[in-house]
Amino acid sequence: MGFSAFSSRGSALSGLVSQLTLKVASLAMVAGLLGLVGTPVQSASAATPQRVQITGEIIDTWCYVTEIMFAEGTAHHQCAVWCAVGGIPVGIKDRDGNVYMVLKLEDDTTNVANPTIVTIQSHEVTVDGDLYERDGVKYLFVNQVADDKGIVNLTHDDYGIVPFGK
Amino acid sequence: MKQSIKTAILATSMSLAMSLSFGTASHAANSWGLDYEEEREFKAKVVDLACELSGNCPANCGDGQRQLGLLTPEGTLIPVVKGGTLFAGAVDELLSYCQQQVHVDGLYIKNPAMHMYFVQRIKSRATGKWLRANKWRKNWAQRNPDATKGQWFRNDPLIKELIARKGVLGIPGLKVEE
Repeated sequence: MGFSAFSSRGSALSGLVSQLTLKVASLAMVAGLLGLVGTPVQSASAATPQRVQITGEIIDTWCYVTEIMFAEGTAHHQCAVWCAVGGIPVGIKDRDGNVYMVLKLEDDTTNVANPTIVTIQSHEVTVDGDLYERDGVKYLFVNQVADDKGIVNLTHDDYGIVPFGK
Repeated sequence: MKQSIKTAILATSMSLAMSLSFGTASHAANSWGLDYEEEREFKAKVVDLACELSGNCPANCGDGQRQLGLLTPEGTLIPVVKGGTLFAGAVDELLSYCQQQVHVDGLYIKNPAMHMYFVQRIKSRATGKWLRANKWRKNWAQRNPDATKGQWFRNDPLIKELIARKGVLGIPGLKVEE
């Protein structure tokens, strides 16, 4: 009787555990599908990029695109550093005037005041990467910096130090 | 010459914009007189740009390490490159609204070279009122309690170290002729 009762309770307990396990598993699946439980959110609109090689100058997108000031080369280097450290997106301007907003640099997927890109402001670089074009913006995910010529655009003789002259 | 005049006008606009309109409760965007500029107030969802494009999506929009944008109900993706602090971006302004709908007010610059948004004020369902997009400077001060007060970009330790090492022009030893 005792054993039987225990056995019966054991079966009930076992069944309850099984049911709970199933429920937990189901909830985990649903949560996984919904991107919960710490799982990163998946974008529904990820597109296929175009593989490209770009050569151009590392610029600060705000100053260059808005034309708020002269924003190229040595004359604007200090300001480009300010903006990059300040978290303004960094870009690459190629020889045809195309502007690419950099969202990844090699293995580093962070793109706000990225420690590497902050140190190569105004450099002329050649990069291999993935290009996504959307709504008037060219977004570049740099897979490799193939060449870095340093700062070659000497503009300070013509423009001084921009802005503020110092 | 033209560039100098433009810079002077813009410097004045920047000062006025910061000192006057950011101190009011008005929610009309402040024009900076930029080419291709449109004063635009609209509702959109705050998104991690890299996530939206590539599907690589860390939690909480990258926790401040990823550039953010606005996704409109029509599906237009707009990078937000500038907030209310001079020479600073907009991530600190938008991060707390990651994946949430917000109402933004600012300047939409639709230069053919690149479209971008300069956020000046934000209203969310949680706050229900317009807040100035000026968190960056306060956050910087908290991160750098030993830095001198004043212009953050003249006192930031990393910037000072980079400029001391490479010079204002980015090339050691190179100077502007007097």
